[in-house]
Amino acid sequence: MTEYHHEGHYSLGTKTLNYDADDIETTDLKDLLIPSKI
Amino acid sequence: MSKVIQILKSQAASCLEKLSQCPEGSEGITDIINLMHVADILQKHFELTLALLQTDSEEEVEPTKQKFETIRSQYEGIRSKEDITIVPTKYVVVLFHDKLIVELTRILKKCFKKSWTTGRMQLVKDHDNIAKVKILGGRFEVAVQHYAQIVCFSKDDIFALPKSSPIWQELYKSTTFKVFLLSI
Repeated sequence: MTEYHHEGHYSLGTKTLNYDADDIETTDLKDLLIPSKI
Repeated sequence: MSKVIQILKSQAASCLEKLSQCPEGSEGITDIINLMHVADILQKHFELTLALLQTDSEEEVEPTKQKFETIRSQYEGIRSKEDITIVPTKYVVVLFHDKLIVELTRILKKCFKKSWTTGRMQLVKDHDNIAKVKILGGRFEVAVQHYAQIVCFSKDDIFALPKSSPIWQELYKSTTFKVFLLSI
């Protein structure tokens, strides 16, 4: 398994994406890039 | 995606305005102007990637690339939307969004601090955070320079495969990966 460690968290008031590998892989790339989505 | 880039550019513009009015010299101005320029380039890359994904045929690909004259040469390997290497591109988009852009915006907000000088409150530069903008801005620029290579990454490479692929599943049985994403 992959363990992700990252320090702290800061939000811009937009939806935060996820470092979890499974979440990234099941998300459509188009959804990540559409400006209105996030 | 462009929403977070707009927030970054807006914060950079605000910081630039304060820097230009600051009597302490021009430290940081060039770095922030460059940062805004790099953010514009990244936005073009994301727009082109999305436009390519939205094409319906190979004939639409070249005209789409021509709309992005300044970066189109980096996408010569893309002849159809199927040539886009999806898995690593998703990882790098998330890295830009959740890590680099968020971190840069956070530091830009901390480039000035309030200080009592000669009996009145005024904004003064936070030199440590201005130095961090330079460091992280450099990382951001290098990441943007390599973005197109990720989109055009070899599909035969193991890192182009989803983690659910048999090769990765076999590796997971005997390996532990530790990835450290450090903040500055």
